Parts: sequence; structure tokens; C-alpha cells
Amino acid sequence: MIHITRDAIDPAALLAEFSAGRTETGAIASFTGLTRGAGDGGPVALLTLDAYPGFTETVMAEIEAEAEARFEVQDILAIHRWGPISVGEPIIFVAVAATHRRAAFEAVDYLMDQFKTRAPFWKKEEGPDGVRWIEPRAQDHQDLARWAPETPDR
Amino acid sequence: MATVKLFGAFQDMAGWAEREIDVTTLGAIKAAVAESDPRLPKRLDHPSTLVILNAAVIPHSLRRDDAPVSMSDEIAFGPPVSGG
Repeated sequence: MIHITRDAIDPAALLAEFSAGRTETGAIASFTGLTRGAGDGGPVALLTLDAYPGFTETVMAEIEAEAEARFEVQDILAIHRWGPISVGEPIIFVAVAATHRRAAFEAVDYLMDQFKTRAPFWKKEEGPDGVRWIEPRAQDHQDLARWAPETPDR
Repeated sequence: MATVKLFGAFQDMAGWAEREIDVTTLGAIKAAVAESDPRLPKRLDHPSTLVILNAAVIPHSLRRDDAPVSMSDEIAFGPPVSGG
């Protein structure tokens, strides 16, 4: 399930709810992303994410479907926050349930690499030096390339 | 009147987030948006820019200036995205 919210995220509560009542699941892997106080361009006091409700969830759901097709997973939860977010607060929570741990770890890793470069959010950092809009870093694109299909030798 | 939305840095450059624009092609919409700031024409044409028509991305290869836009359409422009 994909969800975007302007409210605070409580990763512990989300993980507890996601884990409850599972008798066929052998592994749950989760990831929590926090707002850092130091961005690539300097100190950050406040991060603001703009989203395009309707479109943003559609793209995230496409990524979720790709992960379900690619890995042996049972269930996916991804909650992404938008609006103003203070330093130290969770910005994203992702959890994956699977029969075995490898698929759960890999699906979380895959989802985060895809969200970093494809999920439609526009990030603005505010700090003592003013306001900066953030675009994907070269490292984010390298992370994405890890999942590109291998081309067979000819 | 097509609804035009701008996201991220484009919003700051133009000084507005949403407008009704009375034109019938993608090229005319871009020209109308570009009037708001001299940096916008180049950014709107860049391959990395997202052009979203009624919640679906228009691939760069299909973004012809004569592509029709109807009055009920919602079209959005945004710089490269960064979630997570």
C-alpha cells in the first residue's frame, strides 16, 4: 500500500501494525528516512516537500507493482510525508513482508532507490544561507543503475 | 481554459503555482508560462523536465509544440524529482 501524508509519521507504530497477525511471513524488513540537519549545500533548518496529489501516488504505486513483480514478497507498505518537515523527523517509512529475508531486504533497497529518483516530490531546503531546491544527486542515479537489467553477452 | 500547474523551482521562478490559460496547444502553454521568467523557456524544453498531462507523464519524444490541449485538461511542469 502506498500513502502520502502531511502528518507526522510514527515508524514504530506503523511497523507494529504492519507486523501484527502474520502467520505466513518469515521476514519483515523496514526502512525509515529522516530529515538531516546538514544537506549537500549546507545546514538545513527546515525541509519542505511539494507533491502532486493524484500523480505522486500513481507513480509510487507503479514502483510498488514493479517491486512485487521482481521480488518474492507478500506485502509492501510505503508512507511518504510531504509539506514542511523539521530536522530529525521521519520523511519516509517503507516495510516489506516476505517468506524469506533476502527478498524483504532487496525489495526495501529497490523501493528506496526508485523512490529517490522517480517519486514525484520536489524538495526545498531552508537554512541560514537561504532557500535551495534539491534535485537528484549523481549518487542517486548510480544507485538506480544497480537495478538495470543485465545485457547478455553476444 | 486549461489548468496549468508548476512545481518545485519552476514555481519560484514564475511566481505562481496554478493558472488557467486559454490556449489549445502544448507549445502555446509553454510560451505563456515562459513569459513569467527568462529562465523558464530553456528549463521547460529540457529532457529532464516532467511534463504531466492529466496525471500521466508525456515522454520527451512526444512533447511536440503542436500537441493539442483541451479546455478540460490539467497540465503540469516540474524539475527532476527527489523523493525519499
